[in-house]
Amino acid sequence: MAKTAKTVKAANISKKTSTLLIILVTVIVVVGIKFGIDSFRTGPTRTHLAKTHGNAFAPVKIVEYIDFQCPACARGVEQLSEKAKLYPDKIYLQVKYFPLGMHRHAFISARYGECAARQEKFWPFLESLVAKQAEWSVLEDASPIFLSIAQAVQMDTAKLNSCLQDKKIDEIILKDKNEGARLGVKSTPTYFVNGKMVVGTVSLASELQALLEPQIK
Amino acid sequence: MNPFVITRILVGGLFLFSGASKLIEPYQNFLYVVQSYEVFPPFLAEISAHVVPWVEMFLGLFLVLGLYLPWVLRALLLFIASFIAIVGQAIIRNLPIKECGCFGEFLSLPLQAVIGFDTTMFLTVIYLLFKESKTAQLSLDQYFTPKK
Repeated sequence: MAKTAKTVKAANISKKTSTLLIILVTVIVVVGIKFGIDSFRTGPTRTHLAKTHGNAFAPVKIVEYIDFQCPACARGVEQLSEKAKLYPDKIYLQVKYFPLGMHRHAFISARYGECAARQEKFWPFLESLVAKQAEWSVLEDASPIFLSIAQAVQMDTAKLNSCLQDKKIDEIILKDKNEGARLGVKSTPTYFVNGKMVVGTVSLASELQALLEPQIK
Repeated sequence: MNPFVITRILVGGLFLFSGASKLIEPYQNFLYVVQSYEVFPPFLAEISAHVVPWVEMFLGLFLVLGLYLPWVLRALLLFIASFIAIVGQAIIRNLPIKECGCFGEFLSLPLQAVIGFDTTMFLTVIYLLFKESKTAQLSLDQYFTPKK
């Protein structure tokens, strides 16, 4: 009986010790892998000037990875637009493409966006694009709406058509997306606010409140 | 190998992989998922985003290894039940979660499918618990049990 009790006690101690060891090793492995991967995430590169907005020396610098068909991204555009009006010269925004595979028109809308950037019409084009998002998102073919927006913002349609044939446009979009993926971007909108990753408009609002309110004091 | 052990390892592997992949990614991605369900206040959402992946990973790991199985199976039931409740309230409130890319960029997953999957997991774990002795074969629990 005493020998059985001793054996049970020894087994329990051995089990607890093994459990602690398993937990410790797992934590070390996971933290080690994460640390290793994070060390390669150096931050977004600069984007083309046509897709930037605001004062380059502003205290709050934001890089946004955006999918034009994403409803949360549309809300994010409106949110940033309001903040830019409330805090002029405090925000510098750069936009990069991150079209999600689940959105039928994500890539084509990005192509139109990049072609708008080539004609220095990126921001008026983006504003109209998100305003009409609910309308074109549900269509089989959204190109007629993209074209009408391009015409409304006075883009040169001949240049636009030529631009849409240019394979370099796809390279630019994919370069942005691959960069985002390397930085750990998975969903949109994802922002890098002064280098800190912020995902979604709720987190963006808190981050901006923390950064911008001290600026006006 | 008996099917209960295979199921235990598969279910455990799923949670282990799910938890570990959340931990390796920036936590902000999972925070966005948590926020999308609009259940927790901001401070609790932050805590969940940091804690839940660890819990998920360790529950999965302990299930695979067969360690403290009675506790782990019950904890997993509670874990999955919480998921079902959270997803259920999102369906009732008609939240636009499938648009966020939260489940991967190619997955526009209807929440009903998520609940269906979670319910299947729940029932599977109940069955593993019901057949605990068979589930516990080839486990560390069995290894550490003194032989008579």
